Amino acid sequence: MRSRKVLESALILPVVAALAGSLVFSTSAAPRRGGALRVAEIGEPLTLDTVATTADLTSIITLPIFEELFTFDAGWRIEPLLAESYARSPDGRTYTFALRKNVPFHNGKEMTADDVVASLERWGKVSPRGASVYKKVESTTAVDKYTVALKLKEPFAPLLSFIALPNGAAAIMPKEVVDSTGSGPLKQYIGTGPYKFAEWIPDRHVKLVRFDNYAARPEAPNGYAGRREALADEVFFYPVSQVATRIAGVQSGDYDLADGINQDAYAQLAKDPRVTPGLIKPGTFLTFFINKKQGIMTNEKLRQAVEVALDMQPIMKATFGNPELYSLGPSIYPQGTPWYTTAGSEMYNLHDAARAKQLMQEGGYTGEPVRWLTTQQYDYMFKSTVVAAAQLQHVGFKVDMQVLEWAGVLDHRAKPADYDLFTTSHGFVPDPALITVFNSAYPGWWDSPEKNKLFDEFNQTADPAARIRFWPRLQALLYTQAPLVRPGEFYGVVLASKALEGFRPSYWLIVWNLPAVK
Amino acid sequence: MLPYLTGRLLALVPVLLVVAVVVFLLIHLTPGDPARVLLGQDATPEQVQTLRHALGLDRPLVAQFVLWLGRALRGDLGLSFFQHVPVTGDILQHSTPTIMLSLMAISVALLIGIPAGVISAIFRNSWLDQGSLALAMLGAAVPSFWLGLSLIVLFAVNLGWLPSSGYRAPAEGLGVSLRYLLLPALALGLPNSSLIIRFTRSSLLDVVANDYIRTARAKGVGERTVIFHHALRNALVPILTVVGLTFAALMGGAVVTETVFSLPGIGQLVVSSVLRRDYPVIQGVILMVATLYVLINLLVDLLYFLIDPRVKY
Repeated sequence: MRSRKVLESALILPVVAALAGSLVFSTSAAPRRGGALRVAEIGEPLTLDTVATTADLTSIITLPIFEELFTFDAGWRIEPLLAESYARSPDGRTYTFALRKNVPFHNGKEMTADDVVASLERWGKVSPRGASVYKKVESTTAVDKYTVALKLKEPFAPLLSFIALPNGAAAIMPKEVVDSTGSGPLKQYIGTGPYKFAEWIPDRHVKLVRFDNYAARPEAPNGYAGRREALADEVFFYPVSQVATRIAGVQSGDYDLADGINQDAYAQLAKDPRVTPGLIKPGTFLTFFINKKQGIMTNEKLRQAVEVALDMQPIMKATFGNPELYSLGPSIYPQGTPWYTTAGSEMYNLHDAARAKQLMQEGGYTGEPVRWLTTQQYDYMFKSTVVAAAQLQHVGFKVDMQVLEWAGVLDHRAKPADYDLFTTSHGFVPDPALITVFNSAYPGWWDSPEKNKLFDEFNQTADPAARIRFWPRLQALLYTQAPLVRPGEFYGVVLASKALEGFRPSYWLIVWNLPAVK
Repeated sequence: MLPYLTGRLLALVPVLLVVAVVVFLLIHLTPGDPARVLLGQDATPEQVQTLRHALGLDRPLVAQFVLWLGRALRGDLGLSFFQHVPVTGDILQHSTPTIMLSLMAISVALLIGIPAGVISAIFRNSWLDQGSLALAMLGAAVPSFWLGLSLIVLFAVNLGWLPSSGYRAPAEGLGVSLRYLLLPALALGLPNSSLIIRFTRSSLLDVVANDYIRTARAKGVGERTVIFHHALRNALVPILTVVGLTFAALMGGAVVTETVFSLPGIGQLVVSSVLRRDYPVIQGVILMVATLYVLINLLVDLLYFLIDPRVKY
């Protein structure tokens, strides 16, 4: 009937209009909120006290919870995070940090200078990074409610890099939490980040939930800097120690992300339509640390013999396989970073057996065993040591390769009488001052007067451009005195579900600004 | 009967004491320091020392053992170094997945094992028998690691019928919990059914050869009654031994299966606590597993008493 037709069209029109409207609005920029992100990690974290440990797993899980005064952008430049701005005195010895106002902690309290002072002082005591900085610190004081002054005994140019690093982190937490923690590890995890800690059920998961009152920065996201938004309601980190199970879980849709994927799976996963493998750059570099405190390797000629004898291509290829996953080259820092340099390259990757033998003779080598610590718990450490040890045998060294558990390696490498070499890796650090080999207390114990003099000068050069020009001298010394051998760098592989939109691999996983899978 | 039971229970004490001492010595004399593992590669020696002191590790060994023993006798197994929860609670929490998995796995093993063994025995030397024995051999030979991963690839990744890994507590729904445990139960139950198949077969064959079976048949008793009422019941004793030992082993934690399927069970707890030198947990778990072994053996012996009227204590 006519009236019915009119009624129908009267109803249809608004419906169509609404649909059209929703279509327009759904294609607008508002990112989808809600749901849960599920991340399969390499195992159970040993602790969630991100200040006291440099374990990357802890850094990854707590990255959304805690924040520092500064952070890094995509080019590893320092950007303010909890600080509003800073000033440095002309003599480079006093830093004044102006804090942002109205930044709440997860317990509702506002962040003030007292909290920052307490957090920094705890960092100076319990963090390996903080401890090396605080040797040079005279005082940390709260000038007023939103201003902190840090006085150094001498200029220390990399200070902000140390403060910004979310690993062994100068995480800012409430003064009450710091005071009640005492000398043991943290038991409460209260930060200022976009997600707050909800629960940690051992061996099952760590659960984070959105912090509704998070005070975001206004700038556009850039690396770890800028605006952080908790799009997913919850984030779960599951300990899945078997890599094959982690991969299967992403393929079947049980997990959205899986970390720590073995390099040899990369090529096959790239062809899988359900998943997207990503390479984490900048890479981690492989290191063979040499004991300079005790034993035959205190002799520089023998260390140079080791350096000169090794052939890096077979070592890296045998360990990592796919050439997309590693790169050779003498520069510790990759191209694109301000610290790239080829200084010292005349001692890199020579694989010159004759020269090595010559150096061994000059060094007076008479067949003593070269004790080399490694572990099978980290596959790449074992494989690379096997190849390198064979190369050393080839030039006449007697290598005693000792394969221990990782805990055993950690134990023995702290005892100068126990070894001559050990294998490990070194993560990317935004400032060369953070490279562990320069710390004379770190196993290997590089403590030569030349190194100490150059390193101190390097750290007291306040002008950033001058500092960058200075760095090649240190790298050159590293190749001459051979406190370690660095075959090359390798890239971690992270696996994302194809259904996960907007994921970018980063050095420590970023789970903010990432919508959950529908 | 009661004196027998009391005697067996009292025997627990020296067993556990020996276990406790041996484990304590082993873990403290092995290189590796929980403080250094916890703090990571870059910690300074001073920081490691501070943590060692906080954890009580710098005291003399005897003092540490006596302190631990004193608390343990009162039921307090201490605090985990890494998981910030009391050891007792930690073990209990990890026991639930292991108990559920063990029960499901033993059910799978029995559901496959006993019928296959009975069929094998009844149709001895036929193709059914050969097939059953081949299945047993396959089950014993296949590595559980490979079996687990294959099940994941087939049922979770390709068919999408079941979750690939992980665990959901029964509190989140019994059905959900069982779904997550189905594949691991298959991966664990299949290899364990092999021994049951063979024991059931040989035990039943032994029993069937007896005179009283011949008499029953001569009396005209139906074959079904002969097998299931007379024969099987007598054949149960050795089968029960195997089942008991299997169950005890399962309860000790099927490490490989738990690792492959990412189940937070006892096996996984033992391995990870050993690797990171979580001393209180290692001691607590091993003590618990030792106790369990003794108790399950006791239970099996008591079950003989129920099944076989000839057995007297």
